[in-house]
Amino acid sequence: MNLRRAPLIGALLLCLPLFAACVSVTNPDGWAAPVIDGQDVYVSTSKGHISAVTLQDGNSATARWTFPDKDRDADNKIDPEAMYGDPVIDDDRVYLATFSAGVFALNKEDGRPIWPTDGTNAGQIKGNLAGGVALANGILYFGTTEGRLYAWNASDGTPAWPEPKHFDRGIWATPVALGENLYVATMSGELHALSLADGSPAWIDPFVATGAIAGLVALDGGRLFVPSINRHVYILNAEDGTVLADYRARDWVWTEPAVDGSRVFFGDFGGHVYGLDITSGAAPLWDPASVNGERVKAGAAIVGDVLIVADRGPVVTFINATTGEVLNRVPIEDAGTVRSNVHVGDGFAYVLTTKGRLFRANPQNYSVAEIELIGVKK
Amino acid sequence: MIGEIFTLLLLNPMVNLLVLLNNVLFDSFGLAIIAFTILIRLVTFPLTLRQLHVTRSMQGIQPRIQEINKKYSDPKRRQEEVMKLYRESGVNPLGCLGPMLLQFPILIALYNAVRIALPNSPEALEKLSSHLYDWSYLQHAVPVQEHFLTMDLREPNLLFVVLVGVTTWAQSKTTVTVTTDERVRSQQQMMNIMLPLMFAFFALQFPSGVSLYWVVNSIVGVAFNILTYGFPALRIEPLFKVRAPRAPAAETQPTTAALTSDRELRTTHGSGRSKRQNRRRRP
Repeated sequence: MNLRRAPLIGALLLCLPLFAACVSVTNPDGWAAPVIDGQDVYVSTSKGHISAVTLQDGNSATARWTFPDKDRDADNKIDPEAMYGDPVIDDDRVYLATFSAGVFALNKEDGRPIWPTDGTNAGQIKGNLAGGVALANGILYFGTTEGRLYAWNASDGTPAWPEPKHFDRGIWATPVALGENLYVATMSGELHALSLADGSPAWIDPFVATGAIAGLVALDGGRLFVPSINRHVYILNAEDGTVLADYRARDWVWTEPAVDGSRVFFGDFGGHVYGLDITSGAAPLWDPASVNGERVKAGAAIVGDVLIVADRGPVVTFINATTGEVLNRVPIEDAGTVRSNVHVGDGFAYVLTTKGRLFRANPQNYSVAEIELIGVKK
Repeated sequence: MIGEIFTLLLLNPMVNLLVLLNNVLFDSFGLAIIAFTILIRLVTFPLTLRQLHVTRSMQGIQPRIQEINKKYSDPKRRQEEVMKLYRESGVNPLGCLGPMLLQFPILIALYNAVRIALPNSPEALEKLSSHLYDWSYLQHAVPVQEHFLTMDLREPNLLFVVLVGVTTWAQSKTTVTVTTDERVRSQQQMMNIMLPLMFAFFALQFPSGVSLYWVVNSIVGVAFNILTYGFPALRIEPLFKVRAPRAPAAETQPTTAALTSDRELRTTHGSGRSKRQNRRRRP
C-alpha cells in the first residue's frame, strides 16, 4: 500500500458519514399559526395535528381536544403529515386544510369532524395542500400543489363547482377573498382574480410576477400584499391588478406582513426586517433592521408601536416600529425553529415553534415566556 | 466544518448548475438531471478511467496470486510473496480505492443536489433558498417544474424502479471481475443479482428524480465499462488501451495461467520483456 495515500484515504473514510449526514431529507412539517379565539388558542403542535387549548393564567394552557386523536380508532387512518394554512374559526366550527389528509370541518367544542364523517376526503383532491382555506359566502376555497382550485360548500363539504379550476402550476398561497373577488396565486408567479359568484376571471389578464408567489395577503383599501420569492414585494390594486408599488428586498420574502394602518412590516430570508409606508408606493420607514442574519419565515406582529419578529434561530426580536431600533432579542432554547406567523391576542404576541412549544412575547417589557401546554396529544 | 466545506465547494455549485441547466433546457428538470449527470460523469472520467485501469491490472495478476496461494501454505510467506508480486507488477492493490473514494463525495453531493433542487415540501423549498446563488436568473426558476414525461419527479415511479434494477444489473455485468477464484466469483455473481434488487427496492422509496439520476449514471457507467473493457458478446473492442502490469522477475513469475486467462496480457508485454519471451511461455 502506498503509505502517502493512507492519510488521504483515512480522512475521506472519516468524512463520508459527515457528507451523508450534512444533507437531510426535509419532510413536510407545517407552519400553521396559532389562532386565538378569546381564551382559546388553536395550535398545530406536530405533524398536522391540531389542539384546542384554553389559556389558564398566562403560564399554562390545558388541551380540550386534539385532532386527529390517537386514542380514537376512527382517527387512526388520518395522517395529515402537516398543516400550513391557519385554521379558520367560524361560529361553532374550525375549518382546516391538511397537507395530505384533505380538508376538515371540526366541531369547535369537541374537535370531532362534522365532515368528512368517514376518515379523510383526500381522495377527492388532486395534490397536496401547502396553504389554507379561504371562507367566503359559505364556500371554502383552497388550492393544491397540482394547480387545482377547489370550492366546497362549508356546510357539508360537497363541491360548489362542478369541476375544480386548473392552473398551470401549484397553488401554495392560501387564496384571499376580498370584496366580490377571490385571488389565487400560483408558483409560476401568476396572480388571478376570479369572481366569487361564478369563478369567472375578474381581471382581463392575470398579474405576472418575476418569481413564484407562495404567499398572499389582503390589505386595507382594496390592496394586496404579494411577496415573490425572487425578492420582490408587490402592492397591487385588487380592483384591476395594477402595481401600486414594487419593492425589492435583499433576499427572498415568503411571509405575511404585520400591518398598522398604512405601515407594513416584514422580514426576509437574509434576516432583514423592513418597514414600509404604503400610503402611496412603498417608502422605507427606516434602514432594514437586522435579526443577525437568521431567516425570517414567520410573519411579524405589531402591538402598539413594538414590532415582534421571530426568526429561524429561534430568537424573538423586539423592534421599535417608528425608528427600526432593536429593543431586545430573546433567544428561545431547544425549541426547534419558528416558521408560523406570530399572532396577537390580548396585547401579547404568540409564537409557536416547530417543536410544538408555545411562547408569549410581552411588548411591554420585551420578554418572552413559555406557555406550558398540558394534555396535548402528539 | 467539513459539512460546510462540502456544501460550499460541492453541493451548492451542483444545485445551482442543476437549476441553470433547467433554465437552459426548456424548463425541464428531467432533461437537466440527465445533462447534469452526464456532465459530472465526463468531468470525473479521468478518475473513473484510473479506477478501471487498476481493476484491470489487478485482474491480470490474479492467476499469479492463485499460484502463490497454492504454492505457499504459510500465510505470512504467502502475504510477502503477494506483496512482492504487487510491487514487481507495479500494481497498487488499494490503487482503485483512491479514485473511488474521491468520487464518493461527488456522487453524494450529486444525489443530494437532485433532492435539494426538487423540493418535495414547502420546507424543502425554504431550504433551497440557502443553496442558491444571488443571481436572479436562477432564482426566477424556482421551484422547478416537477413533471417530466408526465411523471412527477418528486414521487417514486414504478417504471423507474424497473429501470434502476435493469441498469444497475447491466452495469454489474459489464464490470470486470477481478478475481479468478471460483468461490469469490460466485459470490460476485450473487452480488450482481442482489445489488440491482437492492437499488430497485431503494427506488421504491426515492423520488423518481433521484432514480432518473441513478439510471443515467448507470447507463453512462455501462458505456464507460464497454469503452474500457470492450464487450466480447457484441465483438466490441476496448477503446482505451489499458496499461498492463509489469511482468515480475523470473523467479517469482508463476506458471502460464496469467497468460492464458487475460486477453490483454496476451497481446502486450511488460517492461524488460520481449514479445518473443512472452511467446515462448505460451503452451
